Amino acid sequence: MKIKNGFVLRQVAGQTVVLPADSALDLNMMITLNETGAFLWERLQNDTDEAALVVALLEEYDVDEETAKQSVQAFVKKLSDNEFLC
Amino acid sequence: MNSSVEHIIIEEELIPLLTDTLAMGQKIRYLPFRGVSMLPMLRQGKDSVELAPLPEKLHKYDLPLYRYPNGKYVMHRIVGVKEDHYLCLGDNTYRYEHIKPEQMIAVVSAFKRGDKRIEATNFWYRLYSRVWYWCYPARKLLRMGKSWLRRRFK
Repeated sequence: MKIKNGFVLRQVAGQTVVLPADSALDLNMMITLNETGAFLWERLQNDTDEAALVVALLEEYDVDEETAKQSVQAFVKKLSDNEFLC
Repeated sequence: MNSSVEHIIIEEELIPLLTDTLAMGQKIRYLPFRGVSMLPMLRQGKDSVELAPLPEKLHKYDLPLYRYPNGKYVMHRIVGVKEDHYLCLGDNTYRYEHIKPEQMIAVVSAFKRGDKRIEATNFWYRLYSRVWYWCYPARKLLRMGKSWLRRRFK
């Protein structure tokens, strides 16, 4: 799985915001990511899976495996519910 | 003088988001606002605007966002382009403002009236902006008449 084409991450007013490329920032559809969200988003630019994302999180952050797993699952579910993944 | 006409103001907390987005060359939509000075076009709580980065040149009847020296962000229509400043006037205000080009921040490229999106290039909107301003002397006279009557028969 990976993030569909057509979205870019931008730092806007100190927040990481997902913007549709070549379009306006719509306040009603604005999605902001926290630090780990942005980290996972970047990993998802290339085809990957949940296990690889968990490994990446464990390497980058000081968390235990269970927490990392839960974070990845929750994040992937959110992305997939909002049709960001292909 | 009716000083209760509140100017259209963009909320302070949206400004960083607004300036960063414009600096990236992107539009930002749909911004809510406070105030009644752009009635009947823009109704607080019901309508919102899309702002685009400034074009090379602003024109008469454009609706820009600009900054007062006191830091407030205000949206009123350009009704005159002078050599070194713009004459601006809210659709529901009666006092001309002299705004320098460096005070300009962005321009309305579209707006949402209720659920309906209307482009700034829309024929009917452009007609409205002109006719409404052409009626300015009549509107002002009517308003003065009303306030005279109110004073006279209080």
